Amino acid sequence: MKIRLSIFIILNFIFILLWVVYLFTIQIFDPFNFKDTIEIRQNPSKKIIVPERGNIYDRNFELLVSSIKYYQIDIDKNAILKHCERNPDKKVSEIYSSIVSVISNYTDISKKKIQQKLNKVNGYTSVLISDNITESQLTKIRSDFKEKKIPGLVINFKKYRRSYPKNKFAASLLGMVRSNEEENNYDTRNNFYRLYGVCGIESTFEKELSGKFGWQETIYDANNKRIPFLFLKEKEAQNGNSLILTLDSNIQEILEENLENGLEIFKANKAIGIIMEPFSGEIIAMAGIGKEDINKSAAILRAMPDLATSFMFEPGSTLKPVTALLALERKIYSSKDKIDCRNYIVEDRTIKDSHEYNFLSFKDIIAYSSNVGISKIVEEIGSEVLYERLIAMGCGQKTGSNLAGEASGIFRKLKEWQGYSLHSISFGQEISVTALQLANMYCTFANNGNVMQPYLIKEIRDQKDNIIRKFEPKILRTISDKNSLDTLKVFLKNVVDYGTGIVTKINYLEIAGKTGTAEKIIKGETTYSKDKYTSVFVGFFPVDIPRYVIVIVFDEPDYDFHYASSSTVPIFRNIVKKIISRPESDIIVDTKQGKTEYIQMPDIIGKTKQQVCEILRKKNILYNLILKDQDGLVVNQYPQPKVTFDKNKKVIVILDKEYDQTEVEVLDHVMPDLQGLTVRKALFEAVKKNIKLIISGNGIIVSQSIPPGEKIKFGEICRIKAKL
Amino acid sequence: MLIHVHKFDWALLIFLICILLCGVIAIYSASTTKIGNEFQTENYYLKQILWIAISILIFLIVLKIPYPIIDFFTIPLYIFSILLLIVVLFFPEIKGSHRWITLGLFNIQPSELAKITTLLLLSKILSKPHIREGQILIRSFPIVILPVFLILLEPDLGTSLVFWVILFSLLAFSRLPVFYLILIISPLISIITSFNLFLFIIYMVLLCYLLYRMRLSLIIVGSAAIVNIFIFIITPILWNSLKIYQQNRILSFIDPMRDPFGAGYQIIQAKIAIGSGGILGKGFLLGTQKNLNFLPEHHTDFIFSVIGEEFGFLGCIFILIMFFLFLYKIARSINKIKIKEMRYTIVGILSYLSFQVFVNIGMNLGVVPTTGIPLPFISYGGSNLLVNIFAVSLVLKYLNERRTF
Repeated sequence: MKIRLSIFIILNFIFILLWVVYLFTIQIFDPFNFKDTIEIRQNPSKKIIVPERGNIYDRNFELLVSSIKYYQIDIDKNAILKHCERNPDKKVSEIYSSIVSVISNYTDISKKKIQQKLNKVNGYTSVLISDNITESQLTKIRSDFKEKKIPGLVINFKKYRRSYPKNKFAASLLGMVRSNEEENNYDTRNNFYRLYGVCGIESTFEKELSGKFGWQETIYDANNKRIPFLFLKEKEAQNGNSLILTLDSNIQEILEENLENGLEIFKANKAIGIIMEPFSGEIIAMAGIGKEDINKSAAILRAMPDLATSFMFEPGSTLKPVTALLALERKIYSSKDKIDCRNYIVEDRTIKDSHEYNFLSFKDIIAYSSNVGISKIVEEIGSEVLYERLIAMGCGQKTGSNLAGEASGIFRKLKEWQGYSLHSISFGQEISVTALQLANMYCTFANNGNVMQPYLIKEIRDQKDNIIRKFEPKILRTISDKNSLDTLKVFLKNVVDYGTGIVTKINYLEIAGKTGTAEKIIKGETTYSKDKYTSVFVGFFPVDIPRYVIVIVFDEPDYDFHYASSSTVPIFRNIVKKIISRPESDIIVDTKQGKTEYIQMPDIIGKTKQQVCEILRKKNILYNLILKDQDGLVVNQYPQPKVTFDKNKKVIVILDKEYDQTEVEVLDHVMPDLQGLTVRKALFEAVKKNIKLIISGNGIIVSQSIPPGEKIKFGEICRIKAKL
Repeated sequence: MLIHVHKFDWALLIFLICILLCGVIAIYSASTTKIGNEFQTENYYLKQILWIAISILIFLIVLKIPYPIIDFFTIPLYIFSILLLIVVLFFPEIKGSHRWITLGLFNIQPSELAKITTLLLLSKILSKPHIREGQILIRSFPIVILPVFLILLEPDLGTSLVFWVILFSLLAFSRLPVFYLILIISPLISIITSFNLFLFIIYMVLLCYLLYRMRLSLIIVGSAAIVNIFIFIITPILWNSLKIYQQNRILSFIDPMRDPFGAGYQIIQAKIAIGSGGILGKGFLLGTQKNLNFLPEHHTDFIFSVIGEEFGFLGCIFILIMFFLFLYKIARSINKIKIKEMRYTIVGILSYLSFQVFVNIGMNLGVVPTTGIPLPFISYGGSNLLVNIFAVSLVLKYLNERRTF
């Protein structure tokens, strides 16, 4: 026994000695280099924080493009199992069912699907539930998980998506973005998630919008939980800056709607429009659509080039004022000098007008758009001067708007000009411009000779709404003198007053403009086509201090509408009218201030429709006829006879078969129900009833200050609220 | 008087208190996480102090109870612990096994209780006068196999090994001749050597020679040889019939480094923690591996690596010396006691405590496979601490009440 006991003690001692020796070697000699091993293990890694792409607003801070952050939600099954081990009173299936109910509560994923995903038995310990969770959904889900003490929720950033509250609005102008994840060669190990602009403003201002990546040092413990050490370094992600465009979304909508209408009516290939502010060079609206684009989805439209800056066309007669201006400066002709405008042969080529004129005065050459007349004038000026002036006005160069995909137009160098290039260019052939260039040229006419740099971005603001950069109007160069320009304005006003653009005429507004109907060159042929035209109208208003320059271009309209006066001019007129009738428009007020004219209302009760028209037209009174019966007589009129009223306001005349006062009373003194209508429809409705609307918000009308069905007075003010 | 001042082993008690104190400090450190300059402590150390207080009560009770009562209760206690081992199987799984009986406030681990009751019963049987060699084997084996079987059902391999250690050490101290011991271990060795024919032949020759030198009948030698050869033949067949993942599991149990992220993960981490401690360690509460949770189970099975990391080589040596002195003291006390049953009991206690100490530290050093055996008196765990202190207080009681001549 004693021997065995001592053997035991010796064995114990040997074991202790063994461990001591082993400890000595690994702790003091450290053959496996454990001290460095821990250094490596604790090396912090970096977590990349993806910045949010900046928003885009219009000039009234209406949101055009924003980013939405999406998260991915996983459920860590291991964590749930561990949780159940620690709290034996909880069952895994109960936790699962509460997870299912919480998530399906806030998202549109069905309960069955989540349950299926959770029940799937495979090697993965965490289950992907959804990668389409928005921030608001996430906060709700997270707080519910916290409240019910459910473990296992794993949240990860997934993606950003651009959201376009106005859908197709200015689609090709705003452009589109892609994430590098969408590309085939995307490799998560080497690339960080990134959105980048592919075209349009998104691509032009990529640097401003994209922001800067941030990072965060992280240390994970053995359970892959992040340890919130205090001394970890961190760099916050710098979110992208917001762009405030010069675009006015109301006017842009008006422009887009009218172009689309025109495109359908005139069966044109393309419709392009630009609205600019001549004194600042701000682009207020800019749109272009092709025939085949109408039914395309917004996503495809965003990838299309912006026609207003990229589509080139021969400006036609719209270029004539350049020559006229040169003539005025040089005082070659005075406005009343008569010029022989019969067909004119230059180097075997006959210059013709669509209607032949004999003699026209200088101002009428512009008003009636005579090719012969302008070529005769340009001969006096000479090609060098014309060339220099066109270069000065920006032909053949980019405008400096800095928009992606902008074309510079085609303008041949002086030494490449041929025999009758001078004449051709004077009436807008052998030269191609973009709509933006043309608009910019007319801005120069309108703003007393300053060639502006057109711009689309008004301000760049950072995420805290501080202005980082402000874009000011920039005058590139100045041309001509005020006298000649004023004369030219009168010439252009004449175009609208009695010339080719007479359809544009709006009684209470002075508009200047110039039509252009350019024959198109057919591809592969040297001659001009006889049935394919580009019809252009450029105009600005009011003439005194122009507010807007508008360019409307229809490419290859149907032959019936090939004259500018029959296609672009009516569209122009519609746009002008709508711009003026906007509730926030101040143009009409400007014109009214000097021109409020009170007249007495004539008595027209009992007259026929034709009689009414005659009487009112003679007195220059605007009117709205409400025809309840085509052959009826006037049963009522607003204002009543012998009441003085503002001449600029419309008069309402109601025609009916029978004289039924009561019915009319009921119908026309009653406030219509505007709720549920769009703002534009409500405006239309209000004009019918002669109610003044004061609109706040936009979209669909949700409330009105005068409840529907109540009696209203003539011209009463009703406040309405609209919401998207 | 409860304590006989001259007979009582004060040194043993002081060593025990020392080790317990070290344990509380280590648990305090292990349950503290230092993040930046902030400390966050879980209340494991408080619970441990509570358990120590309870075990002092048990210590006093054991001293007070007359020896015959303990002797009388041996069999009922054994049956009770077997019942508990059956009951525990119906309790919910925790970490993949049914080891604990959950009682709301605390959990009981019946296998710890079974350890001491089996030991007591074994020593009672072995100490019977005029018992024959064959009877020793026939009676003692079933007593151990029953709890071992139940514990393997849980499953808990580490604790079941402790039973075999207790049995083997008791047999070694009984009148059983050495060749029986060799015969008991021989199948185990033949399993190991069966993977190499050459090794096996050497082993067989050695075994037969040893048995022959013991002057045993040729029948026993022959039957031993046949059994071993049978095991030699059957082992590769059984091995090959296992699925690959099952083979891998066994292989990585023997050599954890085969599977650095599975079975070997804990051992590698423990080794890194101890190795990075150096001579003086990183300082109290400052162990990085512990703070970053790389060390698994650092308040229970792997507490030694926390000591190694924070107190370094000197801390480890201190603990080892304390254990050695403690165990040496117990070993020396065996000869002071004349009653056989008590001697067997103390031998059992000594052997299982030393087995646990060496296996646990070996596990922390990455030398021994991970088996889930805690470090006595230092690892956190109520049942384990209670049973161990109960065992030591038995030793102290026997010494206290010994007859001096």
